[in-house]
Amino acid sequence: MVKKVKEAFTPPPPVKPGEAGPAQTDRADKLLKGMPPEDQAKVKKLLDEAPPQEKGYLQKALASKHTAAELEEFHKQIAGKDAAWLEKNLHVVGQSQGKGIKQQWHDSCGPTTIQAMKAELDPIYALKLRTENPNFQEADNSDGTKLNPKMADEQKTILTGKGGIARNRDSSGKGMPLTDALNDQKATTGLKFDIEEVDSSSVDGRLGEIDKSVNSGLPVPMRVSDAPNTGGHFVLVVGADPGPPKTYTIHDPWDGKLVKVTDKQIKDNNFNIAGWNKVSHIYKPSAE
Amino acid sequence: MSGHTRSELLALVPDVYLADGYLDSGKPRPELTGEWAAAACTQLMAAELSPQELGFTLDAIHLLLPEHQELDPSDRLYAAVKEAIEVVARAIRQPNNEGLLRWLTACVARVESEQDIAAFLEHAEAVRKQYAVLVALLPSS
Repeated sequence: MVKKVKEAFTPPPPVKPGEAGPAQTDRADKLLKGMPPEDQAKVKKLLDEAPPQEKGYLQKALASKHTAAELEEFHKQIAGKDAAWLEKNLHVVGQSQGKGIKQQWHDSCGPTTIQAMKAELDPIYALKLRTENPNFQEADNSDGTKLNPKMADEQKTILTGKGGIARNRDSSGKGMPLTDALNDQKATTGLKFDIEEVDSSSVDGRLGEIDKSVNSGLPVPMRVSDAPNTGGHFVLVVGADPGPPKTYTIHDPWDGKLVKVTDKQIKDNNFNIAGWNKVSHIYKPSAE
Repeated sequence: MSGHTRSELLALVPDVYLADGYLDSGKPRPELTGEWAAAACTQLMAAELSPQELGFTLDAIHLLLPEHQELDPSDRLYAAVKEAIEVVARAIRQPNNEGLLRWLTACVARVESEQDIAAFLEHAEAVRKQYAVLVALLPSS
């Protein structure tokens, strides 16, 4: 059998924000054909009569599986609006002032990204989110529910559904600056990091924590230093092979190298990563 | 100590590390979440991909995959990724990162089964996590 060769992904031709892309248009067509005849006629009429700048949004809403009644209601809300209004009100990222949807909780970056993507796919969701949360580009640091209670509630639901805890934005714990930098990346990692010191009495336990994290797919940032702690360097543990000998795979972002160090080398402070030979801290990840 | 140099990691592209497929004895190869994810991160970092674009793209793939019903798993993932790329380009209002597209192209090309899709998603999530952390670890970040 000859294996099909697929075309390489390339940047799609530029489309206006309100245009449904080819895949959404195709899905909208299929969903339209699957509707009961009465609904099909209603939606077809909407699409046929809508000016181009509205039609794309209607197609996107149809592709997002809204009913004919929901599409009619949506059309009432957008009918006659100019392209600038549509662009402003039916998206939550890429706004003209460069601002966009903001996370309402300390740890809800991940849910916020999901909301942004959902809104990009579904203009009815985007409009509802914006209408119910007029301050969606703002957040109150000391009260997550103050400015955008509904949006905050949805972020909280997504967050807690993944085992996270919704805390106010100003409730971060203390740590080395890296902890904050790591936790700022939660939108993309979905991880929260807690700093833990490593010394001769705790090294076994810390290595056990690294094993557990890495084996469950969570990389572990680590600070390496020397005995008098004259300075340090941050690296990332990405693998743990039980061996023997037990060996850790460590990514050194400074040099871009991947190095392998045994547990004995770590316990004996007998390795060399960018000139450092001792693990001083680990940043224990937990899924949010 | 052993390991890989940066140039070795840059050369360890999906065409190389996925040469024997995603699975070994029916299970995702463990390197997908370890060394190979690190290699992918090195390549994406060289392409100056932002962690946000990577996150948007992977979230979009997750949201869109259930919307595609192509019978062939390879076709299904290809269509979902293609749509995700379009959606992200619209959302960020700039062309997608070329390095990310190269990596996705090579990863998707090796998918043949539903188990491969699951393994690809696992690999992609590992890359997402490692990448964001690595960016935070860089001295300039």
